[in-house]
Amino acid sequence: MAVTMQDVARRAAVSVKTVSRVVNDEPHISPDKRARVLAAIEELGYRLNPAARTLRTGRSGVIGLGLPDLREPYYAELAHAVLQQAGRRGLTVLVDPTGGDRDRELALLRGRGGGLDGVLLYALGVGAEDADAAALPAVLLGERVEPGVAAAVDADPAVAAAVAHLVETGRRRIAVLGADPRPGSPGARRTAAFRRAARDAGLDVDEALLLDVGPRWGRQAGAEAAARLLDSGRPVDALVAHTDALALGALRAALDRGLRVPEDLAVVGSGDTEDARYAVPSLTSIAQGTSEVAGTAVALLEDRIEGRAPRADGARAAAAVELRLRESTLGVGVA
Amino acid sequence: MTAAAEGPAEGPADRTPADPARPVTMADVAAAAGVSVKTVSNVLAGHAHVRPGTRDRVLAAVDALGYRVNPFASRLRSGRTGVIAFALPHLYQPYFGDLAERVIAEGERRGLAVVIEPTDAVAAAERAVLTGGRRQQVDGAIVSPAALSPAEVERLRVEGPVVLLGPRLGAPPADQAVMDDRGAARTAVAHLLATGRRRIAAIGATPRGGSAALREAGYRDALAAAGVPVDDALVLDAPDWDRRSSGAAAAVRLLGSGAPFDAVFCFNDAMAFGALRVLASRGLRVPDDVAVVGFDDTEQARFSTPPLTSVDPGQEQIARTAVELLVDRIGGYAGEPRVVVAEHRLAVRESTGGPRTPVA
Repeated sequence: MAVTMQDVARRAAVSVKTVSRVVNDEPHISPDKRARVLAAIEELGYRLNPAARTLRTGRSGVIGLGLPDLREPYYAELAHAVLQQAGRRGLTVLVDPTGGDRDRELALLRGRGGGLDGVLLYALGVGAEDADAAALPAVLLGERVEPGVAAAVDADPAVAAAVAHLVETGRRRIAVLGADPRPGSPGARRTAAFRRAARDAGLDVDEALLLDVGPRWGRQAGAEAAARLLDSGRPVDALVAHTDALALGALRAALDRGLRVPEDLAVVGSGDTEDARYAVPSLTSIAQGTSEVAGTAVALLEDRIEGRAPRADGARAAAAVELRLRESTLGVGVA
Repeated sequence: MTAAAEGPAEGPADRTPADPARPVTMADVAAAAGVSVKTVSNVLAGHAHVRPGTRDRVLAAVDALGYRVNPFASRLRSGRTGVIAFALPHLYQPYFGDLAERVIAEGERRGLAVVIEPTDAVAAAERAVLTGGRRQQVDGAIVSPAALSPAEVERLRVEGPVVLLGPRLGAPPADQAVMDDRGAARTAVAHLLATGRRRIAAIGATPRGGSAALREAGYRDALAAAGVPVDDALVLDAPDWDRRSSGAAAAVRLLGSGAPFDAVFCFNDAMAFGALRVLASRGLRVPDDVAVVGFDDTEQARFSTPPLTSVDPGQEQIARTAVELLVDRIGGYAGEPRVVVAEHRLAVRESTGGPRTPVA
């Protein structure tokens, strides 16, 4: 038999009303009660009854989540975080792998086949010029900061920290994987942050080291771009990749060529995924506050679906963005 | 206002027709062609009793406005949603990320959207999906149980169109698209034996049964066939298959036990990556000191250090078969539960002495 809100209330020793308030993320509940209710929800596997919600609100209880690729560790971990947050609120998530393709992202923003209450989109193809394309409540994930619209992380300080760290450890010829010429794209934003950081560190930026790897930021794309660079004979002693998947691909390509990491080539990823922590050598990576971003995104989307003004904690996930130093820049036996 | 509430002829009143983001409705087409909505509907449905001049005007308006039949509305009429669910324990386990991409692609080829339903490996959630408690929005579900034991799954009264993944069941309550867990494990271990390894550890045993028990049985089969005795000190439990840390912890225990070993068979790639990490940290060379084999042949297997030999349990076939079986059931097929076993294949890479194959 399906677990009901009454079951959760009984297990947590609170009223049904309290359970309802926790589930709907309403304020002014003691942390202790909230923790008890969430524990009971996990334990019993409780989910809001979507049919009841649909009858009550006229909504489907389904939101769309557009992500470039579920095979990439960062997106998989982000998807998991979004699914958990959404499930707790009784929302079903329809995951749509867009491949970073602009047309598919636009189709999702326009509601695709219908039946969606709202959309979360990690946009790679959609640019600033498409900001009005959404035909239903939408929240963009990623690095574009628009109040009330985007659940974004500001990775600039961490990019600067990565460049400073590489320069401190003697690197001068730093390549970027994921440079993207389209204005407003995550790649363009990251690359702009890289340029500023490099200039601050007194480096001349060699444009030939800023590599556009196309829309799919996966392992294979990273390997191919790094292989082209390394085979070109152009001097390079470090590489900053915009995802861990790109970095893992580049790492493999470097090792395949007999290069030592980090002695010959230092590598920095982004996302601080499990893959980064367990790689050999372990991968220095920019942590992006995945669960905070997911929580903010789902809360923002609910606000928009329900027509509420965005909450004060608004556009920017106060995410723990920081550089995690590991063997791929420090060397073995240090991290 | 939601997209779900929009029928083709009744756009929400609070949107102006000038709104470029608003989908074009049948009413817009009717207005542009100077005919009734009913006439537009008749033309699009291909009904014969429409005057040719009227038909041309309607079709011209359809083209000019870029009108598309609203699939959600047609699904309402057919009583179907055009959506199937894929319930899996965790997306962050590489195997499920890979498999989800394949199921989504297979669904797309058949015009079906796929909802990913994470169960978090919670038995109550798995039970709810299988018995229909969480399936109001979909036509059917592909379910990969992780928390429920095979015996518990067999006892469930499965509701509606369902295809089960996971270990092969003796008396499945629904169609199954399965891998040959035992045979694939046997292949992996036979490969290690063929390359001269004799002290082969196994990482990933659990007392829960299911796939773990089958893969352990395959490991024992291969050793027995080669006349190599099983040393129980080399069979390591790893309760959480979804985490690399699980494989890493088992490898630490194995090294700490002092039992000599020259190979490790991990019951999935995630745990193998954890084991590879620990072996590297301890200065052991793979494959010279220890050969390592995984199971799943995930994308990361080609990129690990060194690249990981792994059994592909037939992922692509499983995804394709699962969607095919489910489509049959949604279409009304009501026969006894069917079982399709995918063919497996060993991908030999450097972690067992295979050739160096640059990824790019």
